[in-house]
Amino acid sequence: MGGWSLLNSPLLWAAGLIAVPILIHLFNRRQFKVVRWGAMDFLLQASKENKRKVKIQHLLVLLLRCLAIILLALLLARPAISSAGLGFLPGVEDQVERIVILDDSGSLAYRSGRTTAFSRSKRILKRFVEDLARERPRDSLVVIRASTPNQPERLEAPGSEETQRFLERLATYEPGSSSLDLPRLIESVLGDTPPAGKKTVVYVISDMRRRDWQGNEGEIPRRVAEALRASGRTADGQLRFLGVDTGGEGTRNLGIVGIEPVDKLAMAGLPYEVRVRIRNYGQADVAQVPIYLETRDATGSGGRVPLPPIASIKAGAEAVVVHRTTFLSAGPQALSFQLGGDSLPLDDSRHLALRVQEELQALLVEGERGETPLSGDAALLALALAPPGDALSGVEPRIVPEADLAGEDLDTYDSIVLCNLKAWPSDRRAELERFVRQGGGLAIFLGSRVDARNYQSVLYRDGEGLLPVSLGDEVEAEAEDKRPSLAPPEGNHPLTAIFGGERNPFLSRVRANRWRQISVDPAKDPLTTTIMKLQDEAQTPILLEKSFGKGRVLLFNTSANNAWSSWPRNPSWPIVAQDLVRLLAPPAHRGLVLACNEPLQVPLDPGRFETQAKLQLPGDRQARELFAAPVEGAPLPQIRFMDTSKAGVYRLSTRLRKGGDVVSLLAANLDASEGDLTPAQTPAFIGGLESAGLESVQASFVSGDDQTELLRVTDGTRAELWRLILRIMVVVLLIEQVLAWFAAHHLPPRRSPEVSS
Amino acid sequence: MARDLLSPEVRERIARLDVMAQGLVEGPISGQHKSPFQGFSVEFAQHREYTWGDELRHIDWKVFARTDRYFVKQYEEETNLAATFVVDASESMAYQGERAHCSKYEVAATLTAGLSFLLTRRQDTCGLVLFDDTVRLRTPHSAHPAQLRLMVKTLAEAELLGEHGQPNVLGPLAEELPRRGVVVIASDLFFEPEAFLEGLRHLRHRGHEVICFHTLDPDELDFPFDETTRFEGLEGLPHLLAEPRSLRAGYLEALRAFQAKVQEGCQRAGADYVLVDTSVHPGQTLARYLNLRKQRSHRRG
Repeated sequence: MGGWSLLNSPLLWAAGLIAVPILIHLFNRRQFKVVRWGAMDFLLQASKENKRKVKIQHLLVLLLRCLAIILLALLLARPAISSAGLGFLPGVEDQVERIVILDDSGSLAYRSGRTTAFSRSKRILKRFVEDLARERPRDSLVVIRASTPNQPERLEAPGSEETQRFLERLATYEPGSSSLDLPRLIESVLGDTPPAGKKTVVYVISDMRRRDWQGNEGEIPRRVAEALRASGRTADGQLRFLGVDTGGEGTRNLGIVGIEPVDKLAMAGLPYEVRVRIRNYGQADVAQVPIYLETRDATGSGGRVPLPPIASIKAGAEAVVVHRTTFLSAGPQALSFQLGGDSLPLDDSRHLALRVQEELQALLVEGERGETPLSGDAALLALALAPPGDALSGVEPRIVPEADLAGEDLDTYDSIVLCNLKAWPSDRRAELERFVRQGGGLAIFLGSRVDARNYQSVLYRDGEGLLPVSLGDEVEAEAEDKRPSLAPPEGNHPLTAIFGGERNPFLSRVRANRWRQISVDPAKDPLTTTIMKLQDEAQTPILLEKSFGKGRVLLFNTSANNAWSSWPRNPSWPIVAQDLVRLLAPPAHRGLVLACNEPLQVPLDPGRFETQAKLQLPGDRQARELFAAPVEGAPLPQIRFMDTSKAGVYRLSTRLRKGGDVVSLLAANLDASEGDLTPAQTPAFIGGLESAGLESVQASFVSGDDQTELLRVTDGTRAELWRLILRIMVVVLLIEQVLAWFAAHHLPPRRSPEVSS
Repeated sequence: MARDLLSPEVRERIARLDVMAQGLVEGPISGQHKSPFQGFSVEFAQHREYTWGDELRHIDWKVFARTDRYFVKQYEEETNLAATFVVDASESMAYQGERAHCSKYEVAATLTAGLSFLLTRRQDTCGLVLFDDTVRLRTPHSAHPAQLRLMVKTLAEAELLGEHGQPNVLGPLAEELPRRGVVVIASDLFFEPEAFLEGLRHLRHRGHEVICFHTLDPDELDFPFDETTRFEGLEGLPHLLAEPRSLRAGYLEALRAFQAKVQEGCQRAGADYVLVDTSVHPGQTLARYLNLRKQRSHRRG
């Protein structure tokens, strides 16, 4: 009611007693004495003259009596007014802009006692909305949640149906997997609305964790200050900032903070190892922590097994559980590690999705097929990758002549090796770059067929392309005995492990006949590193690597056959070849693990797949249909799903045009730091605002519990009005008595003398 | 015989009036051995022997000087005083409040009977006129002893009726009365005062002495009502349901204005105005009036 409220509103029923004087008045009109009256003329005359006056007098007395009863009822109902309720007075704020930022990040699910921090937050917000509707209906209110930073809910008329619907929605909100990005939220809600000269109050209902309120070296208050300043509301006295702390005292919590694959590739039948990190955020050591593993494949089959409990985790420290598993078959797999449960369940589980493969698929593009089986440009490499015999190498090389390259789908391979390729088709350059950028691996072996100009223009592109370095002229060793060998490698690279050691037997036996003059220009090739060199005068690089997106490119300044060097005949060659393919292959979990709220984007080749896909969310039984749509800047249409707030394993099913479904499992994980419940130092936040030049903003923090009334905190307490009403009632009764006396005043008869003459 | 024709109620009223008149005469005005009224003629008619109560100024001292006996002068027509009693018999005269001795009519009738008694004792003639909105009844003037009984009977038998109207009584009476006399009016005068005063002035112009007994009930004088009351108008006037307290001031103002007008009108016309409160015994009222007349005549004398 615009700042007015009734503390005992049920007693307002007493106002119904107003009917009593009215009924008495009506009753009296029906009960009367009868007098046969002779002096009627005078009476009629008096009645005519007084009629109106009498009516008004009676009405006034009746109204005063009714008013007295109403005042009595009001007195019993104990009306109160807050300073906000005096808005009609000049100088008092007319309208206030109120912003509520509701922190619904994962840490708010922390349970202390019987309730969670988020439950407390919701109760405080609900009461605030109801108080606002009752006392400040003209104020505007915007509520924004941390999980939906782009969807502020504007309530222009507190108390309306819109508000009721908001309160119904509020009851269903639960803390999710998002984090509190306070500066972004402030920008989102204040940036949209220009300041209207009104006072603005920003309420942040949060559990006040250090990671959300302080950041690194005071980063958060600085960014908050920038956001507030940018809103244009930081004039003196215009902005008030109130933090409401609904976090509990406790910080005891265990959480799984990471699953790190030890093995890059997951091969069926081979062990796959991961390291699981568990952190103890509490103040006390814990022991015998139960941990479970749940596995799931594309069909949904799997199981949950207990792992050996973690012996102990010291306070504030991490424990690492190394788990090794062997997948019996290829295909999508998901691993979910879970703790036994504590006051914050959200961080007690973590997930990993990966592709288990039978063999690595390596595409070997051969420049020239040899006359004999082993004389082709890629033959020796293929032999090294898949030696004959019963033992499986885990690699399936496929040699494709350069002329047949057009028919190959690069995405079906884990790695691509170019062996003395004359030229890469320019119309497939983007495709090759995309393959590498998305995590694929490319290796390039040179040879005499190489068209340097093509490589320069298509693959090097002045440093912007895939080729790690610009190709120089070919160089030939002067004599056989002048052929340079490999120089000992510097550093530890997976491909040069075989060449480690002071007296490595392989280095001197690898001799180069021909090579190209190349040198790395740091300015043009900042991402290129030299892995191995020749022992020639120029220390010519023979093996270089360049990072390209999520993938890598390796350039061998030699051929894959014996034409340019004796390497393929060296015993190190098969090792290097195997390591090369494994190095080039993307990790088993590549593109399959997301952070919660990170959009799920999967490219879909319309040539191979239908555009419709089905996505099953964690915990859902039903899958929802999605359609691949073109995305600006992307070569292929994409399946996109934005709401990955749920942590867990997502199941995406796409259909091949030639028939059959392809299932992918993807894992979404909560930000691990949500488990860190260390409370923020609120004075540090205020100090941070002041340091950023926002002394004009009135910032403060209050503790939030079930009794907190936000409107009282910012707008002042209510004053009861019973004394004033009592005084008014006394005055009304006095006036009523005086008026009733006047109405009933009996003039004493002033009789004339009995006789006169 | 006449009594046999009367209803018991009427007989009771006659007896009651008789008693009241008797009591009045034997009571408050018992000292009045003479008529309170005197003749108007100044012409000497004859001597008669002095009796106790005669005014000393009428003693013929020359005769005393001659005879050593006291004789008073009698003037012409002194013994032929004609009194006409005009009594209001309208419905409003029936009102009797809780504080009144009796109804206004009974008070008026008692005053009439009492004065008639005094007059007939001195062989003055009395006549009666009863009126409501018009003259209802007239008895001829007579000094016969039976005249009083006739008047009492007439007064007792009268029914109080009549519509509210403007009675034209005094004017025609002034024309009809053969000679000067006394006209005694007993009424609540609940009609247009101007017409009444006009008639009164007419009487005065014709040489009559006029006495107006303005008879009112104390309820009419004070208007003491408090509760919601339905006032049922008499003489055909409308009813009124009202809160008396709210009308009291207005009513009293109107009544007093009316009374003042009548009183002033009587004074201007040279008539006696007597406000008769029916809560006071009529004998007291009459006695008080007669004493006042005596004092007044002494002052003149």
